[in-house]
Amino acid sequence: MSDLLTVAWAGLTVGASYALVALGIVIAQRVTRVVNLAQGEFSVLGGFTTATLTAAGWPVALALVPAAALGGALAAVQEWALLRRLRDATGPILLLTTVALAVTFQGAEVLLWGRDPRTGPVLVSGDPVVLGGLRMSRQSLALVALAVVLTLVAHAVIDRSATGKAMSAVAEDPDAARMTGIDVYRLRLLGLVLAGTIGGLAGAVALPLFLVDFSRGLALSLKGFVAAVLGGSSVGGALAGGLALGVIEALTVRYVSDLFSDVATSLVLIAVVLAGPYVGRVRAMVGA
Amino acid sequence: MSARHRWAAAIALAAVLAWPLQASSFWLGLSLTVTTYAIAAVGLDLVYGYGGMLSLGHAAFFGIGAYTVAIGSRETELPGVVLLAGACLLAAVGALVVGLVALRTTGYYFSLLTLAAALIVASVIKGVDWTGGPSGVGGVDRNLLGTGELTVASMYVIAVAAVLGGIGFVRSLRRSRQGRALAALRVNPALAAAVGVDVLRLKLGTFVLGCAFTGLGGGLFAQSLAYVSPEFVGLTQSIQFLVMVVIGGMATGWGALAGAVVVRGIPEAVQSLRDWQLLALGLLTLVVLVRFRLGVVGTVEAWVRRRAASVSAGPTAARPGPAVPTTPAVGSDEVAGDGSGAAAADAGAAPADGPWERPAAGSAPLLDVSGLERRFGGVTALSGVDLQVTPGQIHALIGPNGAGKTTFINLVTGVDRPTAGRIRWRDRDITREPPHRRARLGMARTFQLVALCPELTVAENLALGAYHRTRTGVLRGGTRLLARGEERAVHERVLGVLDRLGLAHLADRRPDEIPVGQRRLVEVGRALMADAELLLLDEPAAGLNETETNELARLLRDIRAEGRSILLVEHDMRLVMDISDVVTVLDFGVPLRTGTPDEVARDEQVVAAYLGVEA
Repeated sequence: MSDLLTVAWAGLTVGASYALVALGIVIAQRVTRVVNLAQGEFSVLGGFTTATLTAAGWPVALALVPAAALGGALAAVQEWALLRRLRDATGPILLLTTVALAVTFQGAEVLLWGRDPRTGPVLVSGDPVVLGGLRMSRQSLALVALAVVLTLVAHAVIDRSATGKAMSAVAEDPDAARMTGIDVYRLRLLGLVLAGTIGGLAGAVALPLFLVDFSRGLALSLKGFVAAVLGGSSVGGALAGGLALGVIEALTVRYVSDLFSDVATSLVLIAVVLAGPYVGRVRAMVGA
Repeated sequence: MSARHRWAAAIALAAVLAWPLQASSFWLGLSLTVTTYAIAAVGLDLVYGYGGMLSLGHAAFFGIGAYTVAIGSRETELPGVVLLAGACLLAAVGALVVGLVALRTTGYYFSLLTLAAALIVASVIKGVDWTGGPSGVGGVDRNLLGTGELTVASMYVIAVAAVLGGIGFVRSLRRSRQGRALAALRVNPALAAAVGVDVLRLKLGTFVLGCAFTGLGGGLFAQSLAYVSPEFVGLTQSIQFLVMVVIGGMATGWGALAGAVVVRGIPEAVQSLRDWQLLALGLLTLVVLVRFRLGVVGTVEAWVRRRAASVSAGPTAARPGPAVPTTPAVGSDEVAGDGSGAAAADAGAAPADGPWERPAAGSAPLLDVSGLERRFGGVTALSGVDLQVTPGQIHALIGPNGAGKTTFINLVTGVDRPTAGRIRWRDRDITREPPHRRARLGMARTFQLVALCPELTVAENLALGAYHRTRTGVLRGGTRLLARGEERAVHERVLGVLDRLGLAHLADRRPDEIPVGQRRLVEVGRALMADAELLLLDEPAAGLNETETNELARLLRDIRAEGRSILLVEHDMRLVMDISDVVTVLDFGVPLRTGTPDEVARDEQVVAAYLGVEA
């Protein structure tokens, strides 16, 4: 039993990092309609930045700031230099652009930090919290808490505020939104900066828990996408989907094989897609 | 490109391809590897460049091919060609499974499902013992024919033959019936379905074929390197294939080869740049996507095309310029049956010994719609619509914007499904039939927002209309010789229809090079190519000037005189009242009145709802 609990907690921890990527993907998709497969790189870059700064003697809490800022700044560059210029392009071209950007970031990571994985110090030190038979490290609690807090913040901004409503209008029909006086570009930029900042912060806090290396970003993006789809592509759903995906993966690794964590993710996506039409039908029937 | 240029290019290419045969073994080996990558990339070009299906997991099929050959070579004594055939076959089976799931979805889901499928393949290859796990399989032999090991040079010649064959195939496909269908599919799936393309089947077939070819590349790759390992199946490999196709130029065939040289050849040749490789590839891809969407080969092709156009037609004629009326302007009193019109009509409608036939006459309704309703969530776009189209009549459907006219056409053609009601075609219930089947029954449509393929010429856009009257499949279309007879029949018919529309001088122009009014005519021409019994025209006169509108009126009368029916959605009241036999007025999705133009024009309700405002 305690084994199962331990596995479940490990799953929730890794799931929190997926949830944060999913959150970034959902927000960026809300304003641009693009699934941003470069979102995972913001986390990776946030992790690397924190690793370098803490190695240079910065306190962890202070290193979070540039890590988050770097994510936000790069996301702004992505919007300004790529997505805005390609707003009339087809879906596949846009998706491919985010992949190419991810490869570009990977290339920069290889040059700056090499090919070996890095780790870094914890933000919250101290003895693990014991609850029943379950031992939870304080850092993993911090990561889960970060996911919950940022989800609540995003919920307030995206789902509740007038700005969030305007963002949805921008994605729905940019021209109509422009005609009602909405500053489309400002909102797109705002959405992407929010997504990038979340990514950078998430990567910094996740650094001591999971190693960071240059090849991790795209896989992280895929997991984030699957988590977002699993959660129904909403802000709250991203958290639920991320945590669920993390637990599914942890159970697969523990009870099947550690080589099959990607298989679990893939099967979840396939299952969601195959079940999609039925879910839609059920929703239509209950009038939701 | 002139014949002399063509020969020069062919000789230069032959020299480049033959160069490795006398170079050092390093260069020969590298050229062989790059060529096998190019074969795989040609397969991806077919899937993504031509088919528009962004596969993010193409390395899976490369890996299936490579491992089939590697494990086959370890476990059996079969000659290499048999193993290569097995590689194609297994890659095709894998693609069929992936395609049957992933092609049910659209947009991002397809791409991410291919990625998910590739991760499963990679995990299985890494996790299972008989694939050698992380260390892979070595000692792959090159006993291709069962006569002993082939030399690297022989392997290279075979690989070059395969890649040239593949490039020839996809380039030939581009100019064939299914190539045009794929072009339509990329622009607008509704357009493809409207001309009778079974969208899902064509996509699946293209996907499977492209993956099989990639599997062949994987098999040859295993033989060229003599070993395989999981790194060639991973995400990075999939992305590299995509980068090859994008940098080289999508849907060009040659682009895959050029891309393979840039992406794999240069980094291998200059090992010291290994750490810069990812950054350079990423940046290069971004630059191509943002600034040179056509890629290397596509940009060259566009340049050659522009030059050819300016050389052959002179600099002034090459530009779009104002519309040049080829038929003298005529007054609105011009009637159908006038000498020149009838002659032109004959030219267009003449059944060229092929599959075209005249519609059967009869007085029972051709199209019988009853109780049609369409709700979008809480909004009712159409309700209680009863409408019959009689053979040989022009039936106009009018009403203010948002009255549901386009929705009606979408429901009749099957792009959209009604929430209630029946649609019958000659006593046959077609309410549940998919759009391509309805097109085959004999209906053809135009679109309110002109839907023409920008990469196809005007003549090719017309040829698209004959899709369901012709047979050539993907395999025959890729080997041009086999499809010649049918292509010639289609081409003759295209020339006839172009003549009839007065657009013959624009045959080789692209849609964005001609005025908007003429683009609408091209759409009508595409519908004529289908030899349909019912033409559904969605605002064909929008954007036409008075002369052009009069020409259109004469054309529509001609079409009616052939016994065909037209469902005309139009805002130009003069045109509607002038040529229609029956008019139905829709208002907020509800039919207000059906009658002759005179009856409708006198109806007070109609005048209040619509005509009064308009006139």
